[in-house]
Amino acid sequence: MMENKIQVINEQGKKIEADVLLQYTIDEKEIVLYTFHELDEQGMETIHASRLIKENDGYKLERITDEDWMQVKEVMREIIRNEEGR
Amino acid sequence: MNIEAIHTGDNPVKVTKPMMNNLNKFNTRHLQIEQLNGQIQSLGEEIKELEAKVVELSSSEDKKMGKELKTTEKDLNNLKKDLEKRTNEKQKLETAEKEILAKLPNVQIGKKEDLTNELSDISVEMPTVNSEEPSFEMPALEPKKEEPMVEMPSEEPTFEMPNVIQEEPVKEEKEPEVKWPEFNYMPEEEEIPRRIPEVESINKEEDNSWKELAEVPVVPIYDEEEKEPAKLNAASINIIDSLINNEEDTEEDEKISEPVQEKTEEVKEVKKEEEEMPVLEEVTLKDYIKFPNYQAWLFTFAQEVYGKESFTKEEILDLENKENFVSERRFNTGRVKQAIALTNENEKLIEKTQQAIVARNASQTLAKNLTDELNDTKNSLEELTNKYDEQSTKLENTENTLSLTKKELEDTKNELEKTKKELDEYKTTFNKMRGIMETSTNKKEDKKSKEEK
Repeated sequence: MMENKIQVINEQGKKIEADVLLQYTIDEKEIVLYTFHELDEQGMETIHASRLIKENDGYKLERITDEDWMQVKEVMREIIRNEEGR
Repeated sequence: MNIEAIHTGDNPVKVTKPMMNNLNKFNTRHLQIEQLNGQIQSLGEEIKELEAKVVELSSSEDKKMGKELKTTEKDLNNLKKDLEKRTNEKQKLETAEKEILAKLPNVQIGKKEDLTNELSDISVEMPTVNSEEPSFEMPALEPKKEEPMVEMPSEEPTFEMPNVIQEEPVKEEKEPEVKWPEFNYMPEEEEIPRRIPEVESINKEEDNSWKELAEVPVVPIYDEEEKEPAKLNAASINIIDSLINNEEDTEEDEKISEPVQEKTEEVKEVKKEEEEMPVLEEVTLKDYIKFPNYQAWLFTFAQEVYGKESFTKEEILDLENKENFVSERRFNTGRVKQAIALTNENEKLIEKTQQAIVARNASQTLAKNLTDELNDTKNSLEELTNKYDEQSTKLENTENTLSLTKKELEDTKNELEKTKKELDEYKTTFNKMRGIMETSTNKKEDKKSKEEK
């Protein structure tokens, strides 16, 4: 399976590799869903969703506003729901 | 294929493994489409090159090129078949993707621009820290068939209790009774909803959580590997716990209000109590299908056993010793997995059948096209044959005409010869006659002259 990866530079300047789960554009905004494969005690995995912004010297991952977050969640639900049983 | 991006914030959300698999499935399909696009483009270019080569070899009069022409034509046919196969595969994947995206009209999947290009070196900066208080936010209850998504804290925390079996405050006089609210059965044909129970607020004085009990969904499906036996609403409690434990301490964290802290302590006590509950056994499938909601089932089971509508804590705990009592979670997982496996098998069969139908239709179309082509060729051949016959007849007629003309000419020549001979004879005879006449005239003139003398 082909994979897309993204190098996330955190607060400490450390680069951590993440797998890109989904990348799409909506209303001129680019959204990236990625995961570091973090599992909790219940076996649930954490997905990180950010807005991808291009700047002069590279890219930045920014928090999605509350208004847009509802829309992003709806996209995720719709995809997950429709993939069921395919 | 990496890009680097400075992280300044994100919206974390927890999902179950099946949900993650579905997202991966969607992403994999899209990547496959992109890969097939590239392959189809390459094949198209190769086919064009070979077609040009075939034309070149066909027009060559060198007999040695004939073998190379055959090989090239064979390669060309193979490439065309490969192209058709990949095109069909791509169309099938695109159709599936479009069906999903039809419900998301403003969404465009994929990169806005090519992010795989190498970037210039990015200087590592210390991003601005998101100083907003993390909060616990559980998703609102949604209609059935939707997956639960647990959000990571992002704003001020509001601790809320999960839906757990609770007792009324213990009075000194008597043991409190657990009151079970009314609930609605789920119809048999409905699928088992997989959701995380909604976190509800608690109030020691006024416990209204039971009113919402009927609408609390079942805990999500877990992995195949053996997990701890299902505890009543343990999943929701654990989620809250993990959220609590994973949060970094900030100054504002320390400002958590007392009521919130009290609630947290209560949650932990309830969790500990539930962990001490013994492991439960399996129920029958029939029972479980009828009562997919575990708590609703538990209530009904308790009703059947005790014949009343309210129960003490000991009575609830004693249910495990009753016949046919089970671990709801373990059985739920098994049943749903069975259903999913069956559904997947059916889907595969349907897919195979559809592929066979498509292949058959393609073969029929190809056979029809070849037959049409053959008929056209036959018609052309017939026309050419007719024309050939026509031309042959014309040629024959012309030759006949030419023969006749030759013969006539010959006759005419002979005629001319004959006439010439006759003319010569006449000339000779005329000359003779003239001679005789001249002699006769001379004689007469001599005689006349003699007589005059």
